[in-house]
Amino acid sequence: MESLILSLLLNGIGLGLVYAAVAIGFSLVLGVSGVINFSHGIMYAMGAYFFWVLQGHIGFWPSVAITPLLVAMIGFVIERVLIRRVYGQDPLFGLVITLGFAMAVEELIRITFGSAAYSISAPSFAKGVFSFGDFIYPEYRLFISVVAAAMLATLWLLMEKTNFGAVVKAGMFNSEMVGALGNNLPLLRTIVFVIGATLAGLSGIIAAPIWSIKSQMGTLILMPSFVIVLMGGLGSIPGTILGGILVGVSTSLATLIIPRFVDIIPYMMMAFIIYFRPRGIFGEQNIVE
Amino acid sequence: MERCKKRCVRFQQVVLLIAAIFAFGLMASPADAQKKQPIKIGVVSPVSGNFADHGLLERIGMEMALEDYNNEVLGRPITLIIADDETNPDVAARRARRLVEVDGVKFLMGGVSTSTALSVGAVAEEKKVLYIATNQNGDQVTGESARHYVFRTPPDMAILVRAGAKYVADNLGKKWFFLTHDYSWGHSGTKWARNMLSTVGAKEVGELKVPMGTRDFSSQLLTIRNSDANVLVITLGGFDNVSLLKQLNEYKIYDKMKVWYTLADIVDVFAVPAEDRQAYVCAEMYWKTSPEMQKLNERYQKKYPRAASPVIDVNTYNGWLSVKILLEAIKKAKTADNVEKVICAMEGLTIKDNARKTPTYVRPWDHQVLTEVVFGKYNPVPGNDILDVKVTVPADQVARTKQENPVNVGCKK
Amino acid sequence: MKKILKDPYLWIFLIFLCYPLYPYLGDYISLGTELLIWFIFTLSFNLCLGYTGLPSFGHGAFYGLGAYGTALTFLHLYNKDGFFVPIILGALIGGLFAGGLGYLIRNKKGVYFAMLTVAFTQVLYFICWRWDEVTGGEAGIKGIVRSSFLGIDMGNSYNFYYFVFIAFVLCALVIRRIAESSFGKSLQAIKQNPIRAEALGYNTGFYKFAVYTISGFFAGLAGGLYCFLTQSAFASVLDWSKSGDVVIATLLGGGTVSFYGPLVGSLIFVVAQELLSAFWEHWMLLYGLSFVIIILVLPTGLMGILKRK
Repeated sequence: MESLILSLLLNGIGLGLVYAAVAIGFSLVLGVSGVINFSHGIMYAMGAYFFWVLQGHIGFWPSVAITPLLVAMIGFVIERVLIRRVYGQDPLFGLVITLGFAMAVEELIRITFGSAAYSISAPSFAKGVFSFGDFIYPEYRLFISVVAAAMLATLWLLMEKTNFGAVVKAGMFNSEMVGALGNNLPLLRTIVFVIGATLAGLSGIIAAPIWSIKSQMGTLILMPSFVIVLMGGLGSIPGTILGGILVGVSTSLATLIIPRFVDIIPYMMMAFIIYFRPRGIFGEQNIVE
Repeated sequence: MERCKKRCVRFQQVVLLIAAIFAFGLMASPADAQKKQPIKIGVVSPVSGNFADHGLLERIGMEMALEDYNNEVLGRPITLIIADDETNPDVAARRARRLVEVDGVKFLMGGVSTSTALSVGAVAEEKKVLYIATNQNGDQVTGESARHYVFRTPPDMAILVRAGAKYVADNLGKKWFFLTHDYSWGHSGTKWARNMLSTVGAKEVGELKVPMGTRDFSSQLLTIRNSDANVLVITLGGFDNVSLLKQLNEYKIYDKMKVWYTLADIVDVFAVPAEDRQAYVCAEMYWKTSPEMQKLNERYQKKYPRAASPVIDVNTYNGWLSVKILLEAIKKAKTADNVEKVICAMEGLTIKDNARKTPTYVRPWDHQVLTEVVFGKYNPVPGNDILDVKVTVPADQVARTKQENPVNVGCKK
Repeated sequence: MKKILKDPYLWIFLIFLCYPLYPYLGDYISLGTELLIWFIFTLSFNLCLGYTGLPSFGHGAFYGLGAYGTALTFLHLYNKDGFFVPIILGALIGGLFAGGLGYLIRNKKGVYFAMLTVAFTQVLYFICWRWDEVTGGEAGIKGIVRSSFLGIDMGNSYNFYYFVFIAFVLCALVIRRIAESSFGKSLQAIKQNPIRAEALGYNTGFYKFAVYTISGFFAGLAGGLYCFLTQSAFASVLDWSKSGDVVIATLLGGGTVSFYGPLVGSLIFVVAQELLSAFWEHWMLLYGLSFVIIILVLPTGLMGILKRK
């Protein structure tokens, strides 16, 4: 029993880090630009699909390097062409325009690859499992937990230790002031959006071998991201990490107690947290209010 | 017009706009509504969305059946009118209603999800037209929601589970752990497996229900691994399977126990790498079981080389069989206008040239179509021969009895 | 008299009064009924979006709850023989949940308001989807029949069409009355400048809560009527795609600039959906792109274009 609980706990933390890696880009864009970016999920899906296609031609590592760049480029174009126009407008405009874009891309995926789901093999260097007695942990899960943790750590360093990070954080608090102080606000928003897209693409790559790929994968990942961001606080990196781990661990451990309702647990936790801390655990005053 | 100074638009504009839209709708309407000659079959099937491939496969089967009949029965041509159900019961009912109200169809068929079968079935009864559920396995379609106007081609879960249970208990293990998709179809799979426990001398070790749309089964698999079960009985549908098949291998479940899928849709398995294909499965049919089926398969492969399934699969076969059943019933009733007569003709219908070992029989009292089901093990090798068939079971040996399914929707009361 | 003649409502009512007489469309009576239901739904939504500037992305949930409320009261309380009361109860349930949510988030603004409506209505969707003992889960609730109302057989689609038509006329008049009342004027004041409205002594939180509840009531009513049209209730209606549909239909027609925008918008939306899905299996692509184009090119909708002239 102890080894089962330990397995579930570690498993939950691993899952939580992947969820956090997906949610963090969504959170940053929301915090800095005030856009509820429904196209975040589809960039995660694009990461997975690009990776899947490229892997067959150029191998594992080169496709890991190229895919996020492709997604980042697409993110750049979307931001410049579409999302830029809805900054400062009714929040539903940003939501609807990104939702429409996501639906269109999802259908493009179906046109190209059919409506079926596909499974990708884990890379050969991480195909095994660690097991001691009843304890078991697949190597690939460990690998992606480490990658996700590294992504989050890099982003945290960027936000806390660099000048750029300070401007971004100020931008979440008061974007007009940041603009007035001579920073290029539109450029800042573009950069943050591209960072978000890159992170989504990377998360898509690392998640594809465990969760398989299907056209609606982008839509399905949105809600966990939503919940994590509301729990942790908009734009907050530690909040998103904590939110992700809470979701991962609680759903994992809940399998022991109420297996039927594991998918409801995150929503319950979100409702509970928002009731007591309306801005989320680490939430601060933000431009979106 | 005091109150309309700012916010309102002048009424003429509104009226003109609405009139223009209606005029557009009128122009788009078909002009040949008068010709009543062809027999119209309304196909309510997923054209768009996540199950579009499955829908396309079943419509391919219907077309193949029409070829067999040279597109004609009782000297009248047959047309299929396709409507997209988006695999959504709400949309399915709406589209079925359109087929009846606007196109005037008397026969409906199609669909791949039990929920759409139930909603289209309700429309069929309301509008008094015949509906054949083509690829839906939930018990309710011919069970508690059985209707006089609804027939169902594929086997229900009772047939599938009972066909495999004895083999599993005798050869694989007697300590069963159930992994159940948490909705009515999943529940019925586990229910019948549980129902067989005492008959085959197996016992239940545990059950985990997983919600639809689960992408990660790791915590469930860890729990299952920690039990002392030697067979994992899975009733899980749709694309969640692709993730599960992957994760079964990832968490080395096959090292500890055998895995039995109570119903597998083989088209999904082609999407999975060969190394992940290790489970035992019940399936409705397999393309290698008879020479006639192989012939049908060749025809399929030649005509539809780019279809989602490389071999003829159950969606296509059931589409083919459903049209055949309908047309044979129309022939027997000698009319395609009197729905009631066709229904009564369809009851008790037997079809011998169905490319199977067992003839197809339409059971009169619950409108369940009975053929046969297969049980086998996936071959973990690349290629089209993915199933090693162990047993073939005629459906009438394992189907629900009148005691188990106390309905009577037949013409004879 | 002239005033009445110039009232757009009169003409809209007349057009739909004659609906069953139209060639082709007249046979497709369920489309007409659905259109009227959509009219009620989008008009109620526009009280939030167009009049108060509340970016609600959860009206699909109130619509769906209305449908469930109607279905459940019909099956359990009314023993399969009510008609009017279940619909009213369905509407009240829609209003109740909208009121509860509206009360919780009445003081939130902008994006945060929108996020919370998405998250909480998704919770409602999940509950309806998973609580299958009550809601029937993925198979939904069936077995609803339209019994007679005031001696008229509602099982007949044409009779039911006129029942919905009368409901639409009443709702449309009431909603316009609300929009033009002093309450409606206050809502517009809040939309244009919430801070000033607050400074003028308006309790903006209360107004938002009130309009959200009213809007949820009418959305629930539309859902209840829809439940009797399809004679069933499904969880898929509560999903965000329905909430997205109502937003896009309202914006397409120009709900932000005209009271009648939602009517035009839902007309085009419903008819286009019917036509598109029949022509191309990948219509979702055009559907998604239309969202983008509407926001970029027609942010004030068709009525916006007409008004600009």
